[in-house]
Amino acid sequence: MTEVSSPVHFSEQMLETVDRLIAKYEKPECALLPILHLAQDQFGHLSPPVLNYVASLLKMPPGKVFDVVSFYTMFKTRDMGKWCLQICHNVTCTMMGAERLVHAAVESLGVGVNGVTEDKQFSLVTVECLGSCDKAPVMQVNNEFVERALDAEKVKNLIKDLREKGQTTFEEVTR
Amino acid sequence: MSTDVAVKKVSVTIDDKKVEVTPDKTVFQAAVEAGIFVPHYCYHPDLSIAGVCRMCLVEVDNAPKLQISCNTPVRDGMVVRTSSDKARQAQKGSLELHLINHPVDCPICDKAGECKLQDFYREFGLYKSRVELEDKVHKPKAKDIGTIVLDAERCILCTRCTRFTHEVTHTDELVIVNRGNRSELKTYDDGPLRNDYTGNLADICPVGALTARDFRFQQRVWFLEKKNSVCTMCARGCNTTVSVNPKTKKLYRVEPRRNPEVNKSWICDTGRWRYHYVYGESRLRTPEKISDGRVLESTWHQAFGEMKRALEDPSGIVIGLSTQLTNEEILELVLSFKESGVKHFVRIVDEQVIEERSPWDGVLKHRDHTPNAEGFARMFSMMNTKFLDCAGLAALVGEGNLRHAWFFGLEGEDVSWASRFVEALPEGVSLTLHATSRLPIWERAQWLLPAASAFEKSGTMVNALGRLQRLQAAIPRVSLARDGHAVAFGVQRGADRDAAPEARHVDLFEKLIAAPLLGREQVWKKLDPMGVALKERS
Repeated sequence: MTEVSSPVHFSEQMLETVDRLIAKYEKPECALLPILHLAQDQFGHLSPPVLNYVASLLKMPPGKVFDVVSFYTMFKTRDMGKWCLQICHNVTCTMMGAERLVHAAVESLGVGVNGVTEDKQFSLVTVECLGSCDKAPVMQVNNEFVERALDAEKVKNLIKDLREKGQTTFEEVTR
Repeated sequence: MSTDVAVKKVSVTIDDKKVEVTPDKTVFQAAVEAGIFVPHYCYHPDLSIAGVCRMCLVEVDNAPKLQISCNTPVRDGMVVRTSSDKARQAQKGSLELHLINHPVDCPICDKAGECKLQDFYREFGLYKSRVELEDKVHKPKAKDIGTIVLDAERCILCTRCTRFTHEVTHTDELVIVNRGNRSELKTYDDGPLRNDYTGNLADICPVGALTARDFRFQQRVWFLEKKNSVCTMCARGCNTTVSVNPKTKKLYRVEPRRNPEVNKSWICDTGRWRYHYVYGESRLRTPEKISDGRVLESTWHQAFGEMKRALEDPSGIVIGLSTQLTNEEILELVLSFKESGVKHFVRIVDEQVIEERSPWDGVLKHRDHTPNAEGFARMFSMMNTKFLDCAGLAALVGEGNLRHAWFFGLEGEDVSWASRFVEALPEGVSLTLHATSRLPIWERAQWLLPAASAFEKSGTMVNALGRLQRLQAAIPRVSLARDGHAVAFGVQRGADRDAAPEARHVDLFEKLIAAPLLGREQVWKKLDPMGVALKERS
């Protein structure tokens, strides 16, 4: 179903996980979301060849996979760099100052919303509700929440730490 | 009657009108049966129910909220109001929502005149817009997706098209990506549509989002008149309407006409767009005589004269009849030549596909590109006449008496399947081809006679499902093109005068065809619009 020359494929071990996921549901296509997460972890982002590959694994039309992926903000369809900053812009977070966080991030990174820095270290997007309204405003960096009394200053510091010290510092920040 | 008794009907009152319907119906379908129109965008009789456009909201007594009629099953004793104040208000609200981001440039939109947004705005809207022009969300315009042009900005997300590519063609090229007010219709890989039925997308799109490249900006639809006919590009015989500008008498488009027994609401792209051969460069416009490789424009008078002289010795003549001819033409030509003493008739058909076991493509198309092989067989058995196949023709050639081969009714620019019949003829046999277009095999002929195309003649045909259907002339004959009736008359008289009467096909149908085929008298008019299913051929 995919192009014959597709360089995209899962390892044997991953394929076993895929089979296990598919077996959990009544129809193969029900396993689409978990398999998309697997694919995103594996390949970094969901490029068209990856989506075609996933479609072929689940024996479903590629169009349906593209459709689903475009609906959810947590799926990345292009290379979003090492750190993807996702700031919630739904009602609660906006009321609690999410726009100020966006401004701070834009200022520090030098790219706009949906932009990726030239060194491919950072990207910035606004997302729908992250399910943590009680701690608004919240943001997520890759798969981790950053949600404690967040303000513009903290966003700037966080970016600075990530840029200078890398992942270890980042984990300190989020815990 | 027996099955009807088993299903108990329920009674529904819609706008004070009582209807009895089967319990599997929805309120919308009951309204259709009651002859009441409910505005709608996403509902389509030949697609699944989506319930997304919210235009068909109606008031149901004892229901707390308005219901979408397309997805509400009927109940016995239900009372429905489709145009109460509450329902009208909701329909107006839905329409306003649809129009929030829709451009308001109908004068430059090709859908104008057959656009449901326009129609419903006039009937159910008529509010003053509360959206500033500059606040509208913009999306890609006039995107090339092959045979269709996609204007995402005009799309109201009814999903008829995505359901079509999913349910009918099973190709799933069209998807709606993103969500909320950024939802957008596109082909998932930005590539072209990849199915043989793309033209239907322009038909089912209720707005100007999907338009056919072939028809786009060719004509304003209100200048066109539609005529019911039948497609002749394969043995399915899909029901069509042919749109003609009555001033220029030119044909502009072919569209499907709903017939649940034959083609539902669809036709294939071949049937829709191959009509261009009617005006094509290779169309034969006057009789041509070919001698020593030179083409000389000639006249029907001369052609008929030569044919009449050849008929003085009918034993040396073989008549080939294409299965693209109508029943009436076949009957007329065979009866007339039999009377003159001709004994040999050949069926010119795509022999490789005619005996195939599963000739269908899974949607509509039949592998036989000719529309009337079934009618041909029925006409010959009715007349108690035998016809030869290609092998039979070769055997006849072997006998050595053959001097003339006259092949009638070849239609279209690609009739390569007919070449083998021409190749079966040896050098010494003079060939006359009555065809719409200059075929690749024309050099072998001594005479080329311009034939009337399927859009220029009337008659009946029988499709591969055994359904007798009516073809109707939509445009006048191009130049000197003639149908089978006129040719039969001309050859009989040896001169181009006393052409066949205008309604010759009606006469032949009512007097000679209706009774044997249908077992009853049938007037021509009654065949429209759906045709009649015939009994199996014995």
